[in-house]
Amino acid sequence: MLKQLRFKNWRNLRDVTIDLSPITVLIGANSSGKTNIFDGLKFMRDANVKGLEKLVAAMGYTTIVSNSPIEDGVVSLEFTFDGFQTSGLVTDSLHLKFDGRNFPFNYARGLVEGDVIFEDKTHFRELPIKNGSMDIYAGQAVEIEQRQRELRTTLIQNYQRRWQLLAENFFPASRLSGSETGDLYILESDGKNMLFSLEFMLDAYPELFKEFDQDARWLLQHVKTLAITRHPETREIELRLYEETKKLAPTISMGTLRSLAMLAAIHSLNMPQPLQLSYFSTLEPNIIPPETPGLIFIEEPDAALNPGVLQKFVELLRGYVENPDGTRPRQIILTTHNPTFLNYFEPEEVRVLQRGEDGHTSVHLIPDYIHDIWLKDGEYGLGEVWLTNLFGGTNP
Amino acid sequence: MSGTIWLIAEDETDKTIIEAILRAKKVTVRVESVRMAGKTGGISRLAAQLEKLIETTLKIKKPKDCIAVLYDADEAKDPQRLHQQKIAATCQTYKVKAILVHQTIESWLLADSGVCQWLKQKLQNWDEESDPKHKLDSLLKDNKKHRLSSGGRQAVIEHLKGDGDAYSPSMKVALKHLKDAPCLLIIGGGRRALRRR
Repeated sequence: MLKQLRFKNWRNLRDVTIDLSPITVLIGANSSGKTNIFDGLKFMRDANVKGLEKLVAAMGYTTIVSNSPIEDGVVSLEFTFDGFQTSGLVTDSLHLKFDGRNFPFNYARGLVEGDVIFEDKTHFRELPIKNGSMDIYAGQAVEIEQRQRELRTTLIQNYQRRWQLLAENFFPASRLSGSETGDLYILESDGKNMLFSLEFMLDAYPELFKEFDQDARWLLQHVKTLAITRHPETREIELRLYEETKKLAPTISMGTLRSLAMLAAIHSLNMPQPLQLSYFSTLEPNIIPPETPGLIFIEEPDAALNPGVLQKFVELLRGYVENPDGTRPRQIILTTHNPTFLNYFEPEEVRVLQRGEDGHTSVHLIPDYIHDIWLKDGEYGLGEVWLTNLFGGTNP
Repeated sequence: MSGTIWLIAEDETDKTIIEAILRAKKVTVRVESVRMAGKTGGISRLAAQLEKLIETTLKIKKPKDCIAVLYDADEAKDPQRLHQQKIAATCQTYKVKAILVHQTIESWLLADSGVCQWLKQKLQNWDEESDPKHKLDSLLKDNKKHRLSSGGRQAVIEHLKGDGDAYSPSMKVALKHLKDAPCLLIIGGGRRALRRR
C-alpha cells in the first residue's frame, strides 16, 4: 500500500509530506493544493506509462512547477510503499532539475528498499535519453539487479494498472459511439471510458459485474435494473437504467453517472489484468491478480450526489477498504469541500491542507483536542466542526 | 497592533466589517473568523457553542492574539435575554472582559462618513435605531438599487472611511477596547446590558 507522499517544489507544494491511511480525505480551501496532489500521482503514473520525456513535453514546464522560483531547482515526487514481502519500506522517487524553462532537462530516479539504494536520486541524467530507452540506473551487482527488477515490476504494476484516478470534473457518457476506444481496466481521469470497462466486465467477468450491479442498485435506490447494450450495427454502447420493470429512466443524471463511474473504478480493479511489460523485454506477459493492492483517488466524489446517499457511499467505501478476507486490498484517497460528507469520516482519516501567507501549502492532522472538545459526546459531526475554522482547511 | 484577533461571531459577514473598519483606521491586525459549528447564525447557537469555541481557540491562539466575541443584541430574537445571559456567564467563567455595543454592527456602518455621503444621509448616531441592518438595507435599496444580501454589503465596505466612532458611542467603546487589546476580548451585548453595567 501507499504509505507516504512527499512533494518538493511541485507547484504550490514546496515541501509537503502526507502520511496516508487506508482511507484518506484531503480537505482544504480553494487553491490549497488538493488537485496538485492528485496531479502528482497522475504524473508519476503516466511517467511510467507514457515515458517521462513524452509526458513532460506534453505537459510543459509551467504545469509541472509553480510560478514562483524553485529554491534548489529540483522538483521531487517521492512515494513510499509497504507490503513488498520484506520488512523494509520501498520509496520510489522522481526528480526533475530544470535549467531554464525548456528541454533538455535533467532527471533522476530514486529506488530505495529499507537501507538499500538501488537507484540513486542524486544521479541526474539528461533528457532526451541518448542511449536507448532503459530508464533504470545500471551497473548493479546481479543479485541487486534482480531485486531491483522485482521492485520496479511491482511498482510499475501498481502505478500502471492499479491506480484509478478520477479528477474533479469526471463525467462519463451514457453512450459511446462504436468508433471510440478506451482502456478496459483503468478509467480515464474524466471517466469517459466507463462503459467500455463495464461492458467488458459484463462479458468477461459476469460474477464481478453482478457485484458492481448490486452495489450500484444499493447506492442508487431509484435504479432497479442496469443494462449495458451494444447496437449490432452502429456498435454504439448505451447505458440503460430502468426505474421499474421495463420502465426506462427518461434521463440519466450527472450524479447517477458519477456514482456509477466511482463504483466502476473500484470494481474494475477486481478483474485480472494482463500486462505486457515491454519495459523489461526479458519478462513474460504478466497477469495482475485482483489480490494486488489497488488505489482509488477520487476528487470531489460527493459532487452532484444527494446528501441522502453520502452515508451509504462512505459505507460502501469502508467495505472495500476493510477487505475482511484479505483478498482485495484497496486504498482510497478523496478530496472534498462538503462538511456533510466529512461528517462520515474519522478525524484520523483527514489531512488538512493549509496555505500559508507565502502561498505554499502545509499539511497537518486534525488535533486531538478537536475530538476532546467537540466530537467525543457525539453532539457535533466532524464536518460541522470544520466550519468553525478552528482546525484550518477553510477559505479565509 | 500585532497578533491576530480571533473573532467569534454569529454572522460570517461581521468579520468582513470589522476587518474593513480596522483597515480604514490603518490598524494592521489580522482577523481570523471563528464560525459556529453546523449552520451559521443565531444567538442561541452561539450561546450553546461559545464554551467550546473559546476552549478551542485558546488551544490555537498565540500569546499576542486576542479573542473577540461579537453578537447582536437583537431583543426581538431573544426577548428574555437568556442567551445573552448565558454568553455573559461563559465569558465570566473564562474571565473574559466584555465590550458592549448597541444592537447590530450595521449601526457602525451607518455612522460612517464615507457610507453616509455615498447614501446621501446626514451623519448621526444610529445606535438607537431598532434595526440598523434593515435600515441600511432600505437605504441601499432606495439610493443605490442594491441589497445587503446581493453585493450591497461589499459596496458599503468599499465606501467605509472607518470614522463611525465619532457618531457611534458603541463603536467608540468597542474600538477603545480593541486598541487596548486584552488577551481575551468580548464585543457584544446591547443597550440594556450597557445600562446595567
